[in-house]
Amino acid sequence: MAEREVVSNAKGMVLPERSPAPVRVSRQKVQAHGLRQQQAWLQQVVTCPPDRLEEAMANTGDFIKEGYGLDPESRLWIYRGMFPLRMVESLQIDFPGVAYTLGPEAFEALVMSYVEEHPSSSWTLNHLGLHFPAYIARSSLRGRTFLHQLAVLELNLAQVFDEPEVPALNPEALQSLAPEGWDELVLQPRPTSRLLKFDYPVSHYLHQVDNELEPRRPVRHPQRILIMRQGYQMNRVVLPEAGFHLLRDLFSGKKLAPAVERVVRKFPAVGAPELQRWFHQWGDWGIFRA
Amino acid sequence: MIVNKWGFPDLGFGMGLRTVHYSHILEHWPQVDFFEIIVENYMGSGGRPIYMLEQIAERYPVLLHGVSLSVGSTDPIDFEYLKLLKNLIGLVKARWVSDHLCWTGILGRNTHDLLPMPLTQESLEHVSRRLKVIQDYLEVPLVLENPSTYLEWAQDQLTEWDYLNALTQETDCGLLLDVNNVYVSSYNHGFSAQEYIQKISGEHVVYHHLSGHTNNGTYIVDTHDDHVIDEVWALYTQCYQRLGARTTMVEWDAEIPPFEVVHAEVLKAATCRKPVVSKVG
Repeated sequence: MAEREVVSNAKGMVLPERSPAPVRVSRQKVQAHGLRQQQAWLQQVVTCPPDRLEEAMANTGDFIKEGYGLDPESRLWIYRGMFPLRMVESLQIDFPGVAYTLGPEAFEALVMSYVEEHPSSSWTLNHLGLHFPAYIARSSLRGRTFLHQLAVLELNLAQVFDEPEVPALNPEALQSLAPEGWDELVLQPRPTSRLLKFDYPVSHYLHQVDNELEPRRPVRHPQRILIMRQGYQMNRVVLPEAGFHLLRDLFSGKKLAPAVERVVRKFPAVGAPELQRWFHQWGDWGIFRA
Repeated sequence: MIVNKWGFPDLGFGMGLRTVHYSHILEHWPQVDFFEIIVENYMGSGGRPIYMLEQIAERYPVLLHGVSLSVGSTDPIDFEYLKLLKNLIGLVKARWVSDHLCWTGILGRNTHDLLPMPLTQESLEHVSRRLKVIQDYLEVPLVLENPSTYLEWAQDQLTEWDYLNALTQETDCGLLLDVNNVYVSSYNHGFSAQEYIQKISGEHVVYHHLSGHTNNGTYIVDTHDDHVIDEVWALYTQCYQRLGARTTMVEWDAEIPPFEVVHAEVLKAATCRKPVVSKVG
């Protein structure tokens, strides 16, 4: 995944094309406005949807000085033009799969309608996409179930990227756990380990997007994923159904022995060699807290 | 020559720490006097960003520069943000922290843009009050950067340099004099960049930013995506001649070239400080 990076000032741009309908601007005598009013006005001009722009800019002459070189409306357009660029770029970094699937125009339209409903209220753009998967699920987009699940995967990847680093239970320690302690033993996941279950093979699809393989939307096929961060690198693996069930029980705080018994009951084909292999792998991957 | 009033040393010439240069830095440990980070890229993260920062801070001074303080906003001060910022100040043992004279949003909303402050008495008093609270909380001086602006408010009463000078007098904050921003705003609003530099309160200037921009003919946008232009180098030389040596940093944030290209720009800044020697005989 791409690493988000805020930069210290404006993104490169030229004046964007204006809305088709010309904005009528009042040239009446300047009225005094307090600081709060000035800020509320400019924020509205910068962020409002196109259908409310004419109203927002109607009293531009009250707020903006007749300037040197550019008229006040063009000056406002510089700020207004940067706003969608920032929003789209931010969510494109966190949701590259959704962006690829929709294409640039549909993705921008989705982002701007989303931002209208869920404007950023945080000092960081890292939180902007928090409601994006749910918003997609409620949308009328074609294939929204797939898009929603893809967005859930991407949101989790973005979140795990920033989770705190905590020591992992090393493989030797995991292997040496005495069976007599299993009844009471709880294995906690590290914050950088997450389990996700999907109806579509979204992890495989995202891998293809990341590698510019131009995938088509996949057909339904269940996929169970473990996301983990190892050495500050993001990784994910597809898990077998039984292994996923066992890990889900363990991640939810169930004790080791009852969790193992439960998975063996539910999946009779799972035997001791398989369990041993899984725990060996999980130890190598460092998914449990020390 | 005017000494900055805190006695902060001239740290020399540095550059912005950007992710695309991480591997080069860790492999070569280049000769750079310091790195400046955008604090929001590291605050609240427990992953790779903070891991990289810790490694780099072991070898280089790290300066902290923010974009989300929103010092001019009429919303309440965000103490959650300040708490995280204070943690970062402790982590790199920063002697000051910088951000912009701007606001980023109100009514609980953040536009993530550096929006221009009205240059009025009301705004000046508002920012002064907030700056005092913020500096008291952070326990280090706040150094405010003059932003690039693309509009002027109809009710403006002060020039930007008079506003900043009054602010520094009232609050004892420092100034990050971004020479490119002076040029960009002077171009966009038709004032004299030389006059700005001549009249800014020299004792409050802690350091300088330099960067490239995009000239669209009738206006300039501060894009940080190119080399510093000659006119800005000339203004930087004017700063040096008036103020003396100040910590100087080159920003390159879009279309970021290889490390060596940005580093060459940093080294070019050093040449502006060489005394002019006239040939004799």
